[in-house]
Amino acid sequence: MKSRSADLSRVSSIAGIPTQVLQTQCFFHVKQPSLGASRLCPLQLFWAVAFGPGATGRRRPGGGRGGRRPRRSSAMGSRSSHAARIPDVDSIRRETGFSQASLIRLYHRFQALDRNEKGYLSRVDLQQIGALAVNPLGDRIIDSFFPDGSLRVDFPGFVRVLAHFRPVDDEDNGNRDPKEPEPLNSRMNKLRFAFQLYDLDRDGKISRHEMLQVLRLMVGVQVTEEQLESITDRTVQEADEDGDGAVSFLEFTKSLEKMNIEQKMSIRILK
Amino acid sequence: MGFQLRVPFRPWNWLLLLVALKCSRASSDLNESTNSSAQHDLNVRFAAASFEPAETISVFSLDYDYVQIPYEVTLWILLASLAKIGFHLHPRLPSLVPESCLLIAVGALVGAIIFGTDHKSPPVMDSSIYFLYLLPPIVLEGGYFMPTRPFFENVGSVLWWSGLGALISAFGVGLSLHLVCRVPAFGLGDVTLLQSLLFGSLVSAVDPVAVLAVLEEARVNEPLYMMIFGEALLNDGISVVLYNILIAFTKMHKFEDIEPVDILAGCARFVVVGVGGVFFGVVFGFISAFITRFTENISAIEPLIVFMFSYLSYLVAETLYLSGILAITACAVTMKKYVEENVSQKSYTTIKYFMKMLSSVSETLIFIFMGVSTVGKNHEWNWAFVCFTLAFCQIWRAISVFALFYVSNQFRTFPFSIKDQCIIFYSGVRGAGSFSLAFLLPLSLFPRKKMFVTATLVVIYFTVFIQGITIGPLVRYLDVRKTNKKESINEELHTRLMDHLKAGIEDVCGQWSHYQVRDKFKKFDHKYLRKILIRKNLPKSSIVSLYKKLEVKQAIEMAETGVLSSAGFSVPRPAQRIQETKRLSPEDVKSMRDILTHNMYQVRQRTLSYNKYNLKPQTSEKQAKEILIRRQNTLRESVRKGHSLPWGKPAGTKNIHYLSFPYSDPQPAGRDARVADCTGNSDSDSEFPSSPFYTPPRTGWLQERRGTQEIIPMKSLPRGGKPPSFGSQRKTSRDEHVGGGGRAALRPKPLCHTVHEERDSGEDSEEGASAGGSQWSAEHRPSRGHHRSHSPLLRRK
Repeated sequence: MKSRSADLSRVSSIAGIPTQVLQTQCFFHVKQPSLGASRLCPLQLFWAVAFGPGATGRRRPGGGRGGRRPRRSSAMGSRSSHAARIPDVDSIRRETGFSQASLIRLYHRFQALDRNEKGYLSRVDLQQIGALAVNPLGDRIIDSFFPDGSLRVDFPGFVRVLAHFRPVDDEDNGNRDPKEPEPLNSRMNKLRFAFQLYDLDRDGKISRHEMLQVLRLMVGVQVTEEQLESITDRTVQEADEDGDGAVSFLEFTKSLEKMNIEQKMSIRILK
Repeated sequence: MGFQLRVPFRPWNWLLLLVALKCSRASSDLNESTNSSAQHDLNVRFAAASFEPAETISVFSLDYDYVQIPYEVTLWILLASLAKIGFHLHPRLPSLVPESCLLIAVGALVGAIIFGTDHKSPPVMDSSIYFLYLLPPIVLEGGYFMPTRPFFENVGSVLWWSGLGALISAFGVGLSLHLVCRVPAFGLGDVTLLQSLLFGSLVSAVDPVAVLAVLEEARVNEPLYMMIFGEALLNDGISVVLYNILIAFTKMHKFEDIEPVDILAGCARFVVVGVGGVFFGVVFGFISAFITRFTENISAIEPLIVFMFSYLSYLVAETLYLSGILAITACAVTMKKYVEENVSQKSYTTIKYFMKMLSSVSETLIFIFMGVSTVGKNHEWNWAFVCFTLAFCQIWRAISVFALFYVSNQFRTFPFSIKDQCIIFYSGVRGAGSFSLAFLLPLSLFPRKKMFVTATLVVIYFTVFIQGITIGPLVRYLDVRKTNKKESINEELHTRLMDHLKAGIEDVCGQWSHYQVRDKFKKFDHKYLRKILIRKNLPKSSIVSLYKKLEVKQAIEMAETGVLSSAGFSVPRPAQRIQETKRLSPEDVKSMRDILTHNMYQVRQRTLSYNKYNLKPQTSEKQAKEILIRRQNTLRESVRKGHSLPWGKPAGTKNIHYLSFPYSDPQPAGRDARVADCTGNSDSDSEFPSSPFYTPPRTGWLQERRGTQEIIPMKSLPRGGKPPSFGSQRKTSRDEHVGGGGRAALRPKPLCHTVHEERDSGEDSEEGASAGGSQWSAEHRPSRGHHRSHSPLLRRK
């Protein structure tokens, strides 16, 4: 198994196909003879039925190329799962570090959110997500998809925001070219992303006012305004080192230096 | 436990029937006879009482025997309830110890009392009572409270694991125990293969739901949660089916040999029983959903319909020798979604509570029977058997977990980590199910039943107490992120912010599984099922149904009292304030942190937290309501200023209600004008001008607002690109808002105020989410509809 995966990764590096895709295909093509075709077929069918195409996500990108393609594409309708449908897929991958499988999934999600197939998302599209409505920071999260007051976000922009939440994997840090810009999911970028949720006026500082606004969003109604005010004061004061009455990004990172940001700001499914 | 014990048990049985399960008439013949014999029993009793030669009429007399059974049962349940109250009074105990420990302890206590006082042997359950009355509520509750979406997202893995897992450990334990029994030194030579298989099947019926409450604090991830839940849900069914088939085999084996054909038939039967049960469950689920569609005027019977149909599905399936457990589970899962939308809020609450109540009564009784049979003389302790059972249970559970998840991980997008698998392995807590099945073994077929019961009890006690108590620490140990202790307020705040942020981004990413299957079902559901099963004129989106469940009144109160003056952007105080707060004592800081910890909104949990023994007050719903109301307020205010887009208005949605409103309101122009004035002036909010010729700005404003929905971003203004005038407007209007939560402050200008509300509520209903506004929106709808129809929007469509 080990040697096979090593082979796979070599093949993948040569052919430029992600290992996952190869693996999944090999899983069927290599193992099939050993298990016996007559027994595998029902098994395969069982998996397809029981686990559904979605649960077999690892295979899913491969499915676009593999033997099960006809069924898949008919189920997909016009929305092909083929990576080629995504514009600029390679540059996006380079920038965000997402695997191809993730990108395809995200592209589907993007299309699903894009109600009337505009090719971009507007705020309204994101506001449609029910769970965001009850997220106290929902509006701010939505806003973070629309930097600098733009009105629409296209797929690269969408993915770029999500890339901040990609888990940090070890290989990223190991063999990264120092000349390249820091990946979007680095600790600094994750922190910066959180910081800009506070810093509404983009002046690089969380003012007392901005802090209060965030607290107000996040704290339940039981807390009185006075309490909030004093908590705000205390919070700013605690982080504020240079005494300007506001929290700069540096101070922000300092106050969080003990935290495991890499884990806190990573979403498991965004491999 | 011969007939003598069963006879006194009848009246209680009858009582339970009356209270909960009225439709037993329609059930099996057995039940019929049970019922009539109970009647008969009572009649005989009354007859005896009345025909006794009465010498003197005694002023006081005691007839304990008459009430004994229901009396004792009531006392048991009360005792268990009181114990639960005490248990939950302790602040940390419930999160450390599974509640079933408590129930078992109470049961053992009762058993000890009965044993110690040499009381007449208490009524003991028998097979028909267990399967007809005690088991269905437990299963129904599980099925009804199952989180549907995550279940179906992981349905493949859940079925794979809970189905095969039960089979593997049943056969594994059975076969390996059979091997042990062949060792002559242990004195187990008379245990046949079938008997050990049967024992294996009953002892591998796990009930991991009991530990979910403990796991909840550790926030296990959703698929893992679903695995545990799904196992608990389906495992019972599978074990019972296996048990029944093996019992049938054992009976048959008494008279003739089992041929291979019988084994094949048994396997086929296993499948038929399961699938048939599910089929009947689904059918009955749809029927009951359909019926609740028409209960609008007689909502009191809504809960009854739900319970009776679930029970009926169970009974019908049992009549046909199908799996009633799977039937009732499937029925609950099927109907839940539709019933919840059909029935009234109160019925919905009733159903939930009644279901919890019934199941906890059942379970309490079973645990008390267990306690009673624990303390007593009827045990046969065989060291070898007990130890090997315990060991094999663990070994085979481990084997089935790691093997099955190894396979299913190959097909999953997000495989279960070894850590997850360890938790699943460790959550294999046995519960009431195993005990009941062991207890119900027919003595005629199982001469060593006592030994089986003893071994089962040991397994249950071991798993419930040792595993149940240690699983919490284990999960926390495996889960390292729990360890770091927060020190500063900043960390506290930022951490929570990041959690919310992460949750929000997760929502943006959506769930990535079962797109096509789910989409297809959704389409089908919308096209046919909902049309047939759900009352008309019900809101569609899930956020709306959330609203439906929120209590409107409380929302309005909150808005009125102005607690929610979320918009109160106070002007920053002078700097001396900061000076003043510099001298904060550590206690103050600590109390601040506590305030923050307890009052910051919790991150929404994907999986609804399920507690087998309690219905939690829906904190998440309450919180959601609060957030939504606050957001409404902010919106209202921004709408008042007229330069922000309303939240959540679907771009492509057709606004049907624009057209459906009456068009001939007597005084539209005036109203519109006033609205316009208010809009224009609410920011400066000095006086209330009533010039009726102010319409153009209004329409213009509306137009602009419409336009902005797509174009102008909500936060473009704080981002810096805002016109300076907005800033001042914003500030003043905020101030106004602080002044009294919107309504109170506006009292001096009532007319303007009402129109305001009216417009606001229009806003609300547009969003399809009108917790705060729906009440007054109802009154004002016609006129609003009117001025809507006036607006140029209509033409836009």
